[in-house]
Amino acid sequence: MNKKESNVSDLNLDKEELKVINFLKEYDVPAASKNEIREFCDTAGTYLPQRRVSVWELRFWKIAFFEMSGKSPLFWMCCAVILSIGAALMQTAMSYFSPLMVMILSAPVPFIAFIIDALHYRDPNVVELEMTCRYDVSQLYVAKLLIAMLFNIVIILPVAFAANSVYLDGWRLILCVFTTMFFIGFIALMLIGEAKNSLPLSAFLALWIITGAVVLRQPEVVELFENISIAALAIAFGVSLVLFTIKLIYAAQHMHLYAKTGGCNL
Amino acid sequence: MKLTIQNVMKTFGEKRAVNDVSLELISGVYGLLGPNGAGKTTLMKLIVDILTPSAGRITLDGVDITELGAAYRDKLGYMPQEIGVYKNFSAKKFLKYIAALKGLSGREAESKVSELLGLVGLKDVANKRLGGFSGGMLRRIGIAQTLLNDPQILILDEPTAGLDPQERIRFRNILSELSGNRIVLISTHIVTDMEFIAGQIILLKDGAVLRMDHTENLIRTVEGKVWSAVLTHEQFNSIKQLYSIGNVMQRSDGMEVRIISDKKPLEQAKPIQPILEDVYTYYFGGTAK
Amino acid sequence: MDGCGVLLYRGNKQGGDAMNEQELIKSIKNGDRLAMDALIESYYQSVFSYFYRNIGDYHQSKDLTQEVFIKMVVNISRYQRRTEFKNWLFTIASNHLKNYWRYAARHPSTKLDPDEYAEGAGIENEITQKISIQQAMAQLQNEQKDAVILRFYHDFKISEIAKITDAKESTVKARIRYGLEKLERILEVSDHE
Repeated sequence: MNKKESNVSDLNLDKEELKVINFLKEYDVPAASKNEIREFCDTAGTYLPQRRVSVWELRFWKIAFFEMSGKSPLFWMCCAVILSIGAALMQTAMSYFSPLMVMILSAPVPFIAFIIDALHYRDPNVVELEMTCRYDVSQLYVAKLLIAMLFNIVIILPVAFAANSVYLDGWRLILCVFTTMFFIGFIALMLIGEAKNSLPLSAFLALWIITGAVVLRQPEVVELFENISIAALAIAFGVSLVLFTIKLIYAAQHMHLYAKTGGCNL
Repeated sequence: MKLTIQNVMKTFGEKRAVNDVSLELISGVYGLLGPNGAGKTTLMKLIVDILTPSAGRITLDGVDITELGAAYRDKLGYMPQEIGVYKNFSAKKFLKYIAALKGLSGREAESKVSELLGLVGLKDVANKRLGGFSGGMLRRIGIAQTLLNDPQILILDEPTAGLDPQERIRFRNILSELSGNRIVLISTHIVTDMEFIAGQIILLKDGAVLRMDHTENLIRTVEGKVWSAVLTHEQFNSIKQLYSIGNVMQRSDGMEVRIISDKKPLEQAKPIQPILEDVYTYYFGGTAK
Repeated sequence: MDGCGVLLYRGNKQGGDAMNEQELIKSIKNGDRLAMDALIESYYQSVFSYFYRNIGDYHQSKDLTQEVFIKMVVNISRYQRRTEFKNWLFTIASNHLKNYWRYAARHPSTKLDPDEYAEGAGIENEITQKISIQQAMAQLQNEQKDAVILRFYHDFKISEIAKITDAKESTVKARIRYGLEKLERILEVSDHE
């Protein structure tokens, strides 16, 4: 038992109880054999971290490499088209659309195209395999979706700079672009939850482009975007970012919850 | 190492797919035998923690597998019945991707992937897109990815379905080469594979364990209950309404039929030494594959 | 050669030297098997005693002890130096014990549980008029027993027990008081002098 007398002054014990403490000494415990411990250590040893890579390290860039190198030629062609159309439109001084509207329209397109491409070549059963690997599968899908959004930003930024040379209200441009990116991205993520293939999202993309092209040409709409205050835009940006982030985490978790309930929708 | 399944149950709505299953698995090869719909796949998904039990729990060395988390998955190799892949990835790239998810370093992955592609005979199509692979080839990819992290616990769901005879033999050889302290659980309804592979067999029916025992002991339970007779077509048609029928072989002089029956079914029936297939027929009825 | 490796760490019998212990833990985080062996060896009997006094059954206590050490190894990367290792280990043990009590309540086993054991022995002891401390302890409520054990057999302070068992300090004090009071009553009744 204890080598020293326990200091029990913090317990306010009476004499009888202090006597009991003496009797506690008599509770002997059988000693565990050295063999037992040694044998057990063999088992315990199999749980030792074997690789220096820690569980929490998701190797974000490795995932990014796999995602990017897995994209189809069709996808890259689409991205090139977006970039060149955008750039071309910027240059024509008397453009059919205002540069701001062009940017708003194309802002979320790379993100959606990225996910469409991923879903198209993906077998829903692959999540089950991913679930039995070391890394947490919802972290994996958060990473994948983040990569898609990062890619979107990387594609859109050069176009935005090109636009800035024609359209001089830089802050308005940036805020409109990012707000649209995150808000439409948020809606797209809502569709992923239910999607077993790329059809719903492709339909959504087509809908966005067509509707956007029509609506964003209307003079009233153009005026609205041109004149809305920067403060209001900043708030809209904040809201869309929050919505997107929440939905991102939820969608990533939903991917493996879907498999966990045996394919039944929650 | 001990994998314990304690009173595990899994229901989907009204259906009870796994019904109060308790098993204790220590190192060795176990065959999970049962007809389609017996709950084999569900049980395996519960073991690899893709599904959560509705009741009961699963422990490894006494610790709940949900508490072990990644430490459990590190020991696991799972081959699903229908393997999902990224169709635009090449075989090599897909295996490297899974290797990354299993925590192998770049160099480890490179050598392991190469070794496994050779093992399953897919080295010459290593750089071809998975979208163009046949069912059998995909299944071999499935086997390969299972072994990437050198797992101590292998859960294989119908690993030989869709493989041609040569591939099946190769698979058996792979299994027999896996030495030492591992738990291997293989589910199948192909009885002949089981005979070569398994040490112990678990019979699963309607989500519940009927029996678990060594192959020899199971065969012993149907000794004296297996008969052989040569019948005409008409005789066969009337017989098959009354008894469980095993293998049927066409001969020049009629049909040689294996009949499972506690008592002698026909005058001309002769008692014969049972095989594992007869065990299947006895417990699950009808015609075994 | 195995013995040699352990000998290097042998100064650590009671887990006493904190610096040495922290080095062991660092090695374990890097997958050092010998360090793990040494750490387990130094705490095994202590954790085993904890379970044994709580449950009274050798084999069950052995199982629980080993499960706790597996959890320790699996979660070693989460251990932060700012907590005392002993406290961290016993928090795992205490939670594991709670799980055990919960599971045992839902699945009453055929094995003799301590209350039965105590009662049965109690009848026998009317004859001898002596009741052992083991039997007396077995009659305590789980939480009281746990608190008494942590206090008097493992030297934890009230504040530490509160953290380990996830209870308020006042609750811990009360449990120990009531536990000792009950022990006193039981031991007195059996004419223990």
